[in-house]
Amino acid sequence: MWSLQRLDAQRKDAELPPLDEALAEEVVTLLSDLEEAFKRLPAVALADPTKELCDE
Amino acid sequence: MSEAVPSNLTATALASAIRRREVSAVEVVRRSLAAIDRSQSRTNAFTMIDVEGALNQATDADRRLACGRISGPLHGVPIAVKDNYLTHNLPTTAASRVLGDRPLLGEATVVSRLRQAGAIIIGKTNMHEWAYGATNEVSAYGPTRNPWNLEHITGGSSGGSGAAVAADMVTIALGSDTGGSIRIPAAACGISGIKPTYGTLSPDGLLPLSWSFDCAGPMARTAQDLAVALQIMAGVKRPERIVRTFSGVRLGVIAGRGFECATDVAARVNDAIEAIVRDGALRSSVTIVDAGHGFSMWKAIMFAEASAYHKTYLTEAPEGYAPGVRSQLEAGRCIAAIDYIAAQQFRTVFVQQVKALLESVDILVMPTLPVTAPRAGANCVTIAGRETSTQDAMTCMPWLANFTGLPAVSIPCGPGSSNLPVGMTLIGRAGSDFTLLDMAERFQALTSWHDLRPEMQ
Repeated sequence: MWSLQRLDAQRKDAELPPLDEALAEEVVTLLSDLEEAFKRLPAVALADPTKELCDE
Repeated sequence: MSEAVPSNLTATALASAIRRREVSAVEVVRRSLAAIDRSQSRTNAFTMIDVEGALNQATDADRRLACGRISGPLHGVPIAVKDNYLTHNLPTTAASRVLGDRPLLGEATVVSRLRQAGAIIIGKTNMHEWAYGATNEVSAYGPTRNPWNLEHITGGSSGGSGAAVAADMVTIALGSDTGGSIRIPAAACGISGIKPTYGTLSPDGLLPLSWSFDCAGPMARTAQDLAVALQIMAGVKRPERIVRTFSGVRLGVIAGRGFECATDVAARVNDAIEAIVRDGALRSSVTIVDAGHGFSMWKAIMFAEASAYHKTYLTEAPEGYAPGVRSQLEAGRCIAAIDYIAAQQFRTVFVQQVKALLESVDILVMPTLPVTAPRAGANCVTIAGRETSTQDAMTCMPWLANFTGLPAVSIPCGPGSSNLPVGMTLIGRAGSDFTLLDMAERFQALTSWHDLRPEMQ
């Protein structure tokens, strides 16, 4: 789950300056929604890139 | 307005009248400038208007015509260009403060082709900053307003182009479409717009948002004008019309989760489908499997690609972005490479499923938007009893054509309950852009919704 602390730590690692709190909260909301979406993504639906290469 | 300018304001009619010398290009440009003068302060459709340049180009067009030289199908016709296309005579800002005094040089290939075909660039249209939003409420030039009701949004990100055509300021305006940015304002403003098959039009000189989805495209009152613009922009000749009626055309009407809409929108789109069925089409209901996942993965890819493009600007001038745009760009920086790849892998499978669906039907049909244009300043709207952000409400249907790369045209199909326009989308197979426009043109021969014009307060 994304949090202000996690965002702050990731930005420090990437040598990016901290965001003001209102902006950071918006970013955390957007990232949390995306993270949830990736968690729900059905693994069976993922294409196998090796297969695509073989097909070509 | 000049008495000589045809009242039937389509680009095709204007170009024909100019060629027959019933009206001069200067008169047509003056009519357009007068309409802009009347409507700009209320709609804020333009970021800049090139009065002198347009009149000079028109004078030159009339001079050439007098010598028997016709540049092309749009000789002397004024058009507007969204402010994210490079134009050599006007600055490009993407409606953002970020670029500041950094000039972007050159001209977009599609703009250059329209110019060579005789079109006169009368100005640049307002847009959601960097095309990164679907409301047109966020722009360094201020928000645009819907000519049908100035208290409502135009939708975006090509909202200025939508308002400019709807209010008869121009007959053709360019938009760009990454998740519906042509079709959203086309539907909200009661005009027509096409997102071509991905790759049909050169993206050269169009500032990117998300390069694996971005498409250039025209907006106009009629499908006929869209076809004229599209063939010029693509540098091809429009193929012989294949579809003259809907007889035997198999419609797949999209239903189910992710495609719910308000009752007034559903009623108008259903009426439109019935008109098509009366013309001979065969109707069936289809569902898009995994649409919810698709919508989320479309966002993930767009976030990552937009942040990659903006990396330098975001580092050097972060304060130049409006907060709502910057938050998306900052979020995109945090998307892991493996997630971006997973999203693209999901997309590959999803596209195969939709293409397979288009083997059993000829076109997919759905409302362009689940609601009519929301009120300005509304952060949320309610669709079928469920509250959602206005941004999601605008994109929750149009994203499908960008995610799959398929062509999609939005055409007006009558007013909703608040007298705001409703749009219907037709999605075709890859490469069937002109066939799709044949169908849209046929629909507009059967109905007259595209002729409705707003009466601005």
